[in-house]
Amino acid sequence: MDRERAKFILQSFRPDGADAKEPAFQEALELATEDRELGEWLAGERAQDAAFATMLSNVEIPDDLRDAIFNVLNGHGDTEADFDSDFMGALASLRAPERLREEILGAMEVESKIIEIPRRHPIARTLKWASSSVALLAMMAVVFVFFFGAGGNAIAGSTPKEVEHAAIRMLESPFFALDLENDRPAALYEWLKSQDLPAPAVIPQGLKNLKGVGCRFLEIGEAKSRASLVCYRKGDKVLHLVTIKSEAVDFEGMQGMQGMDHAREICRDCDKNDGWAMTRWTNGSYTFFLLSKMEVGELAEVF
Amino acid sequence: MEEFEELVDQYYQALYRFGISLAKNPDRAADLVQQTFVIWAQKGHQLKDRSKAKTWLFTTLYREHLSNARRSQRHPELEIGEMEHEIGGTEDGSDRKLDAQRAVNLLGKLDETFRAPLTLFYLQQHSYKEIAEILDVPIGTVMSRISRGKEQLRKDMHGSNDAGSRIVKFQNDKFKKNNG
Repeated sequence: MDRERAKFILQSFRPDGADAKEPAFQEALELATEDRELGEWLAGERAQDAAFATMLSNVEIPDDLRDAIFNVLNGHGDTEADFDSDFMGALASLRAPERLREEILGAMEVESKIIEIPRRHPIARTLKWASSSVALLAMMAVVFVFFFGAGGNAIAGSTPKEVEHAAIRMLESPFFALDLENDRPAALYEWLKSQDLPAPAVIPQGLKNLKGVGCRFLEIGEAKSRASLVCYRKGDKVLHLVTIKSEAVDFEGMQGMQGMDHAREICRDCDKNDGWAMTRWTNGSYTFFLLSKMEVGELAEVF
Repeated sequence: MEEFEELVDQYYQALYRFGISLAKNPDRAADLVQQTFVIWAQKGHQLKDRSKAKTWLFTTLYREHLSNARRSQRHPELEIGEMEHEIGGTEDGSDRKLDAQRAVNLLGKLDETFRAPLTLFYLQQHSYKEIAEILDVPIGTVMSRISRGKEQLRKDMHGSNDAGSRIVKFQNDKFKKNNG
């Protein structure tokens, strides 16, 4: 190893010496003890790095940040108003997903298998925290799923916006699961047919050559109208096609839903979560919602 | 909850410093930190290797920042205005505050490619291997970016020593013009 190579490597050596035992730095450090010029360079480099690290560590933390984190997690943040307005009326129609009990029992089983390590060791604190947090998160999940219905197949509400918002929450839930996973769309549509679930006769051009991910049975609104979800993979993104009988969708106060030809024009960000792009259309009998965590332009390319 | 508090207490300050160097705005940095812990509450249980919680949190914050940055490209004028406000707001602070703001400003001037790895390096919470994991780039790339980033940072530091007051004045004038 020559001096320049050693300098290059040692530039990633943290000034507080935390990397002293890291094998990748050993040879360069040894060379620095033998080569006076390299040694002096390293001393200067560490001094400059330490000075800048100190400057950065002086960045003041907002006094209320810590409290704000816990407020959000305890449900006292801005999201509470959204929750109130969107879901209080729909709670009665929610029910726990069938698999929830098994999932919680599974989580508790994992927890019970965590090996105890003496508390004084730093890793023990992490594991203790991990162990308790599994239970805590399981509890949070129970509350979350019961109140949001996110892991179940029930879509609360029946207006197009309610369907979109509830579908996104369901898709983002850590408990979300598909009834059937298969990369062949034909197999997915066969399954929907076998379950007497709605499926589109014509799908957007851009979905035709995509591989499937899976599908799922959904229930819409208080009437529990049967609907379906089919997921397609496009690169590292997943597109979600929800098909609902039009009679189950409440269009009151909205402009008339248009056909697939117009779906490209009305692609937009979700007004509550602009990480999601969405659009919708109808063929008369059925209404379709296409949602994906992607840019609006990318979704529009599907049509 | 005690253990969860421990996790927050352990990392929220470093996450905020990482966030402010990326977002260049205190409010956005605070939002990034909050959002990171909200995501942890929703999805953290999926992390099988609990010793990786620290790396997970920094990775999540970085991804959230990238996601926000993609969205804000649609409204670039807002971001510029806010950044100038932050730079202009430092003149009345203490030496310590000025040092901190200067560090953030210098990191903010760096090419986006160097900013994240160099900030993580100076926070001293992560080895170069962990930085590679957080940024999802090869280890050699991280070493190269730290090396080149330091070079650019030091050039900027020397430049701002000579012309710092002029830069602040110019930005304040521009800020006033933009905000009436």
